Amino acid sequence: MVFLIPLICPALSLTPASAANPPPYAQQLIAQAREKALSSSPRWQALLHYRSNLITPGVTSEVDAVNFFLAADGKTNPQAELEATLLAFFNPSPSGPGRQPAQCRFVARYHWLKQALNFDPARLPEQPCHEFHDWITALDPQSVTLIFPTAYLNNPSSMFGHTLLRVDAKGQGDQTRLLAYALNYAAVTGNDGGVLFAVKGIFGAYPGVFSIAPYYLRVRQYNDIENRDIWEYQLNFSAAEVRFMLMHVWELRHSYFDYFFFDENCSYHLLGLLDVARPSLELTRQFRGWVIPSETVRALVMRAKLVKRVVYRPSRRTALAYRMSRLAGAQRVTVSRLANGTMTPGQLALRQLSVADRANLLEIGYELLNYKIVTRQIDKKALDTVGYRLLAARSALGYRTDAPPVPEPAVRPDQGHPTARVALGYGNMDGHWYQAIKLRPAYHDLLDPPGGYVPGAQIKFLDFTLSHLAGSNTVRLENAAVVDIVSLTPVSALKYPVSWKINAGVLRHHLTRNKNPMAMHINGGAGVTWSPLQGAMVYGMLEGTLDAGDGLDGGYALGIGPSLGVLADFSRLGRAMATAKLVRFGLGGQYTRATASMEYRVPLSGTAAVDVHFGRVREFGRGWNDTGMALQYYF
Amino acid sequence: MKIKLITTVVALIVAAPMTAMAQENNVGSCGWGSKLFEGQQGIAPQVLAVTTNSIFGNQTLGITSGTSGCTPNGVVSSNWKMAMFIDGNKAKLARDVALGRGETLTSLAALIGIQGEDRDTFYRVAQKNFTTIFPSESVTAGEVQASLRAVVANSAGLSKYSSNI
Repeated sequence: MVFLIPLICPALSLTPASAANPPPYAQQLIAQAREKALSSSPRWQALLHYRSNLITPGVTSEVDAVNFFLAADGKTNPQAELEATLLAFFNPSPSGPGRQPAQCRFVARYHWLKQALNFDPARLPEQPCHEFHDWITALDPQSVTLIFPTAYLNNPSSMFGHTLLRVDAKGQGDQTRLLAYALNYAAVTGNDGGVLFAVKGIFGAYPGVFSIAPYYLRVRQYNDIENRDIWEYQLNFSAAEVRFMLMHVWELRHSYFDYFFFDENCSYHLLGLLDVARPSLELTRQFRGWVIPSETVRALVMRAKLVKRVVYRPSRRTALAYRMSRLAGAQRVTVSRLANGTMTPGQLALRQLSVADRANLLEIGYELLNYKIVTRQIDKKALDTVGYRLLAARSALGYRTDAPPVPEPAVRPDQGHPTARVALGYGNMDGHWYQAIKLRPAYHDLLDPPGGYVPGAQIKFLDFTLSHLAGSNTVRLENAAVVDIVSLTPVSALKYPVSWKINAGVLRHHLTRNKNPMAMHINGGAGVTWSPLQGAMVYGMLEGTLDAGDGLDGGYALGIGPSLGVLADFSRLGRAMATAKLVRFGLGGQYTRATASMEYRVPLSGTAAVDVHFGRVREFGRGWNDTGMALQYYF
Repeated sequence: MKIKLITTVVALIVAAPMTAMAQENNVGSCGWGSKLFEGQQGIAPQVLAVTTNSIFGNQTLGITSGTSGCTPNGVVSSNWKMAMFIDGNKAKLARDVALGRGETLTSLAALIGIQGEDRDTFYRVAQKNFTTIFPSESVTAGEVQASLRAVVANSAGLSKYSSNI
């Protein structure tokens, strides 16, 4: 052993430990760890994010940054990693990114191993970790809340949601939530957008990292700018568990995971953090394959007593829509005029209104103006002029009152119907009696129970039907939708959104009663939706369709035409939809297809429903009917 | 050939919701020049914060690298906390002050350290002095902070808090 006499080094300095020359106490600790089988304990597995390999025996860590591992084979060898970690604790020299001693770099591992093996501070001195200490003191963690921003307007894909964690400090109350810090997992993508973003994200080409930001920035982004309602699920973790979880976040500082949209996304890795806080939860084990954020929230709520309390935070748009709905017609006109500046606060003052009413109208006028600016209906310069005048007039009233509470939706996103659905059907199609099985792995359509979802929004993936025609001895693929999205967003005083739809898949053309060749089918449309009364929607769209298959002249057909639809909600008594559509194919195959259909679905329980449908199709010069009913089960 | 075209179109269509789902949720760090001020479709920021860098410009692998006010670990150093809160919430703060209530205003009061019934006084005084604190909508956060400090200092019951601002 060579003892180095330090000239400028810190006072406490042991011989640098090395694998070739481990200090005797290190060897002792390693032996103890082996005896206690610490490397296979759930805590160690969670800290290193080890997952059992699908095919080969053993485990692999999901962390992809090399700097996260101290052993050369640490990514696949928990024991080697544990031993290398113990050894590294004896080295006080700053190392790695962040220039910290190993005890500080891997503060969670240190903290746990110290307790599990009862470190003797005389033989393994504890390093001061100032940087970590300052950080954790600033966070001041007491508990943790899962934040779930829901869908935003006219974007059914956003129904999947997002999850992030908020670290709640000691003494933080409902009114000071904004001052907390939020922990978010996301991919670092540079300026990529569109398809490149999608492709690289699907195949793990981006690094995913955790980041921390003040919660109010998130609220601004989600609630105010994107106008998404937020649900806050306060979790039942102890202060010690939260602190340990944050120690682990500190360990991940300079590391990354390959980001995969489908299975290792924002929600998955947040569950990984919760597993670190309490390994007995084994949350990540529940999710192999596709991880949908809203499903992870459901998983947490279903665990006994894990969710303490749920708080609803309406978006600015939701609050505005609610306040507008409580105004009389004439008042709504006033508010619109205040918002677009055609009425000044001075002119409003001339009216015989109470101070309370004036205050209310000025506030709502300001909110409406703000919303129109955020949604780019009005230039933001108006905020400086019209907006400022409204606020100045409002403040001059000197009137103060509580904000009207926005009613919470009856069904939370985690309480909505499960997202996968299977159905058994029976009916008659084009003169043939048939039995059918339908399967849809995700997500929600217009007739599914709407609670917890966005009205008028539909998104379906891999929805397919297998049918058996009476008299035949084969089962055939009747149709399949790879993706099917519909967004019916009614026009309102707030905005005139364009409703739209898009879908792609395969279906069968009925050339004759027995000739039903398969065809690829792509369809898209845009139009407008109107909601004449609560729970009803009427839409009209112009749609384009491209089909490709045998039986069409030239093998394809491109067409265009109008469609009309009515959607009605009878709450407990179910939902119904009637549609009529006309497509005139002019390129390739030239013919007209007209369809009319009616469908009614009534829920039997939270997970089962009965569906009946009737449709008539006229194509290739002949007409045929499709009538049937199905029993559906959500899971 | 046509199958290939249709398959490509299908792939693009499937990719679109994936893009939508992930892209708007893909934001990260703290710092003035944050893309999340822009909003999901590049909506112009409500608060005219001076942005000097995008989040992807300054975000290294790992928890955010710092920009003004943020330590490299994403938490805000205390002497910047007030300034950053005001800047990050300027428009909302203006609204809350004009109304004499609101979550942003309450959080600001908590940051300043205003206790008990003084809170109510603070809201009232702030509302009364709205045009002093916010002489125009395009006032900077620094100016707001200075005006607020002056208003609080001049208010009998609240002057003891002015040094916290």
